Formats: sequence, structure tokens, C-alpha cells
Amino acid sequence: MLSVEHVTKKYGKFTALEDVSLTFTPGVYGLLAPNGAGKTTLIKMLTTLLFPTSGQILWNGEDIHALDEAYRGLLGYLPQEFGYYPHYSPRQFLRYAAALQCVPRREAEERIESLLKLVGLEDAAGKKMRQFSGGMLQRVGIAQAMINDPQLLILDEPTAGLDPRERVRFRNLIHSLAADRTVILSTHIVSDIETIAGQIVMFRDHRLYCCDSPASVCSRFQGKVFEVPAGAALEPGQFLLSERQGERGPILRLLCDAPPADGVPVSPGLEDAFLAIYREGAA
Amino acid sequence: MTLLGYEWRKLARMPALWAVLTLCAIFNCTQMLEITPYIDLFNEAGEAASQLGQRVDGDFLTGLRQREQTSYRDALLEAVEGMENVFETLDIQVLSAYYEKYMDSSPLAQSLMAWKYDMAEEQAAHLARTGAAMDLYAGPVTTQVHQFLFGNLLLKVLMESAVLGMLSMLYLLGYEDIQRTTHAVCAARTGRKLWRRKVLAGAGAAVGLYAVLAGSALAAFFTVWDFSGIWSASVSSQFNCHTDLLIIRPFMTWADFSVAGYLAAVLLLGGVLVIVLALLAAVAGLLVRNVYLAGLVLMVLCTSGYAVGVALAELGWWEVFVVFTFNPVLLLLEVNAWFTEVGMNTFIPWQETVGTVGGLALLSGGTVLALRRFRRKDVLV
Repeated sequence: MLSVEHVTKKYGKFTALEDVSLTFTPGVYGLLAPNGAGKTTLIKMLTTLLFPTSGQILWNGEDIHALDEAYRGLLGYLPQEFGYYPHYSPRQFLRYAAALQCVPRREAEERIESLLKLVGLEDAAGKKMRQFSGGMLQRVGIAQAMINDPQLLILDEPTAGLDPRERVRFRNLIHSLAADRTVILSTHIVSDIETIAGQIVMFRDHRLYCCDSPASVCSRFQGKVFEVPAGAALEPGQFLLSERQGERGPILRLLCDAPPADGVPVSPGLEDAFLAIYREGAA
Repeated sequence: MTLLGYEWRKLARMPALWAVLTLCAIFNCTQMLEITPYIDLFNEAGEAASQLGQRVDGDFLTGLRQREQTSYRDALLEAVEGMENVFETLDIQVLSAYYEKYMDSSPLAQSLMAWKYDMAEEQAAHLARTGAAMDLYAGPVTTQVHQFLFGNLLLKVLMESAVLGMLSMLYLLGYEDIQRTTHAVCAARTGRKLWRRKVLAGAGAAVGLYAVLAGSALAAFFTVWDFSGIWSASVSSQFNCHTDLLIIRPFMTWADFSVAGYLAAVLLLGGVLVIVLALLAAVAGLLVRNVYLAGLVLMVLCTSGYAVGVALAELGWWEVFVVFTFNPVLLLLEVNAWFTEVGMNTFIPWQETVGTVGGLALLSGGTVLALRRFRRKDVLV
């Protein structure tokens, strides 16, 4: 179990995260927040890249910095910007990752082959990665994050820059990996996690806003989301969430306490909740 | 492959390194053209020594006169006839007085100089007893050949090795930032401890580069210059001199060195000095997280070394100058006179050795502290 206890991170006078407390158990957690909210800061602290200004992060009751390599040995991490060695093939890169994770060579070879199969790169295993597309590189990234069969898998914006087909593939892959480990997935793309995350962690104003199931997050806005035809001006108290194309023209999704004229109530989705929580001027 | 092997592989995959290494090796070989005018007289002396031994005594002179008459034999004969044991009449205190007067504003510098030359006087007496000055070495071209080998060729090899070693160290330390793999690497089980292996790999690479450059330069040199009759000679032959502040003095080493032993000692100390400079780069690279900025800092530190020394001497800040003469760059620049009294730029016997070993200890400690600091710092790339 991973515990974040009253963690604050400051850079000089700037506070990136303030007094965050969370507990992660086996399952999939989605860190959902706009850019600059503190998701990556938390992830970097969970992966020991950053040291908290105050508070502590514990793995099964022990401080992760005191555990040192014992903690990092059970951690798999795909950074937001996955760097690689362009002149290496995936197989070579995974061997290097295995060496960094101190995985015995024989075990590493077996795991590399199974991971290459899992991420669909067996045919490209010997090709230089400089020839790879963004999606292929991200697959190498997930494979290197899994090389040590981690108990804790942390993925920072893993689908950024991927086309829709690659993103669906990625989602399915994460779903298959989440069976018996803790997966923390950081993203600002709602569709990436709304179907696979059991818990959604949201930040606002550099503080923890909520840690709840997607259904609970959405239920906060039940009865407050309506669809109206485009064209009418917004009235006070109405907030535009999104637009979509309907059969008879554009349709607006609004957040408001009182039903608008010609408004049709709809069930709020996670994207509605995201847009509602992070709208400008929200309390 | 071990992580150390992976680090060396990162260096080996850099084409620029091999290109520069090759160019340096070629450049070093071309330097030998500088002393080709002396080769005939050198060969004459070498062949005579092979036949007659290195010690110039009555038997040597007789044997030399019996050798085939050539202009080079005649020149050699003219040089060796009338040779005297110069260490018997050498007045070291003249040198001492000269430097003490030069540094008259600093009692500390004066007393250190006086102490150094008192020790030198004892060594001169010892060399007088052994008759080292009566060794031929390479005859009248000894100084030219010796200063070329140690003051030109090996100086260039050391400088090239030091620069390449420092750049290799910085490259390895900054490699993950360049490839944007720092986050993934630091979050792995090995984590920031990888940088310990990078430092070891960098130091090892510096020694490897030095071995290649020294090996290629010396292989080329000794292919052309036959030292077979010379290896056992004393480097303190009266034909071997060096100069400091325009004063020519005998090549008087603190211990008895044959030519072979002296070369081995210089090569060994040179290797340690290359490691010292590589560790300096390690400290700079670990403290200044931007590798390009670290390189700039190193460049300023190393290139200003000589200029700062000159400035301190000109200003008469001798106490600071005394400490400054222990810096590895100044020690490297004195390679042509290592293990001798050197002159103004040393204040204690064996200063190049003490300075290099001391530098190794200091920078090893500095590297350990820098690594420890690195392990406790946020990864902000």
C-alpha cells in the first residue's frame, strides 16, 4: 500500500502541491487535472525524482526514500516525456532497462520476449528506435516500465501524442496489466481513464480536490447538466461545458442549477465533471 | 553487459571521439618531424652506447676512437672528450639565492625554496658519488631529444588525454539529460547510483584514452628513435639539461632514474594526473547540472591556470602562488622536468608527485561528496 501523508512541495515561494494525503491500494487510479495542476509533481515525488518539502510518502508503512532501491525495485514508471536511445533496438533498450532494474539476465531475456509480444513489437524488436512512430515508442516505454514486473506502475500522460487507435490500444493494455497491481495513471484526457480507473484523483488550486469513483464524481453534477440547441445566448448562472453536433445542428452542454429553456437534462459524464470543476471562476 | 559496460558503450558509440582520437594520434606522430635533424647524431651515440656501454670512461673513449670515422663519430668524440663529473662542482646555492631574491617579499616562499635547494644539494652530492653525470645518454643531442620526448610529445599526449578524458566524463554525466532518459533512469532500482558508475566509467575511459594516445605516440617515436643502447643510462647525464627563467641547469632528479625508469615513472604519474583531471570534470558535472555550463566552467578553470600563476608571480603574491603551484594544470605543464627541482614552479621535492597524489585524494573526496549531494537533490531536468 502506498500512502501519501500531508505532502507539500514548494519551489521557493511557489507551491506546487499543498498538504496532499492519499492512499493507493491495488487497482487503477486516475490522476485527472489540467496542465500545471500538480499531477506530474506528485508523480515525481512518488517515483523519488523529487523530495517533498514536508510530509512523507510511505510504502507499507516505510518511507520510500529510506527504502531507497528496495522501493524503486518494485516500481515501474513511464515518464511524461519518454526518452530513449535512438540507436538501440527495443530488445537492446529493454536489456538495458533490465540491467538498471537489476533483473537477472536469464529472467530478463524471458520477460523481454513476453513484453515485446504483449505490446505488439515482436516484429520490430531488432529495429532501431529512431525509426519508430510515437505510438511504437510509447509501447517500448510501457514495456520498460514493466520489465521488473512492478507492484506499483506509474504512467505519466501515457497517451499524449497518440492517435485514437493507439490510445484505445493503450487503454486495453493498461486494463490487462492492472489485475494485481497498483496503477496510477496521470492524464488530462478524460476518455483515457473513465472506463478503466476505479478511483479518480483530482487536484485544484494545488490541493487535493477529491479521490472518488468516477460515478461519485459525476453524481455531484447530477441534475445540473443540460443540453440546449446552439444559438441562444447564455444566461447568468449558465456555464458552457462543451458543444457537439446533433442531428439538427450544434448542441450545447450547459452547467446550471436551474433548467434552461428548451433544455434537456442529461447524465453528466466524467468530462462534464472535469469541465465543471475546472471552469474559470469555480469556487 | 554490466552497467559499467553500458556506460563505455555510450562513449564508444560517439564517432566524434574516435575521429578526434585519430587526429590527435596523427598529429602527435607528425610532431616527430621537429627533431629529425638530430637523428644521425642520436643514432651514432646510441650505437656507441650499445657497443661500449653508457659510462664515459677511458675504455669508452678508446672504443669510440676505434669506431668507423664519420662526421657524427667525430662530433660525438669532441663532445665526450674532457667530460667531467659536473655534480662534483655544481653550486646549487646559486639557484637557491636566485629564487630567494626573486621571492624576497615572502619569507614563506623563500624558506621553502631554501629548503628545497638544500635537499637538492644533498641529491647533487649523491649523484656526484654515483657518477651519473658521466653517462652518455644520447650525447650532445640529449637535451633536444629528452625535451622533445617529455616536453613536447608527452606533454601533448597528456593534454589531449586530459581534455578528452574531461569531455568524456562530462558527456557520460550529461548523457541521460541529452537523451531525456534521466527520469526513467533515476526512478529505476539503480537510480541515481548510476552516476557513480558513470564517474568510474569516465575515469576508466580517461585512462584508456591516455593509454591509446601514449601508446601510439611512443610506438611511433621508438620505431624511429632506437633507444636500445640508452634505456639503462641515467637521465642525469651531463648532456641532459632543462631551463627555468632562462637558467640552464642539469637534469637532477630526486632519485636515481634510468631512462627506462624515468619514462615509466612519467607515464605512471601522467596516468594518475589524467584521472585527477577527469575527477575534476566529474565534480564540475555533478555540481553544475547543465553539462554545457560545466564544460565552460572547466574550460575557464583549466585555461586560466597558467595565466593566474603568472599573474600571481608578477604581483608578488607568493603565499598564494605556493598553493597555486599544486594545481593539476600547472603540474601537467611542468612534465618536461618532473622529478627534478623544476625551478620557480615547485617549492618542495617531488611536488608533481605530492600534488598529483594529493589532488587524487582531494578530488576523490570531492567526487564522493558531489555524488552524495546529487543523490539528495531533486531531478529538475
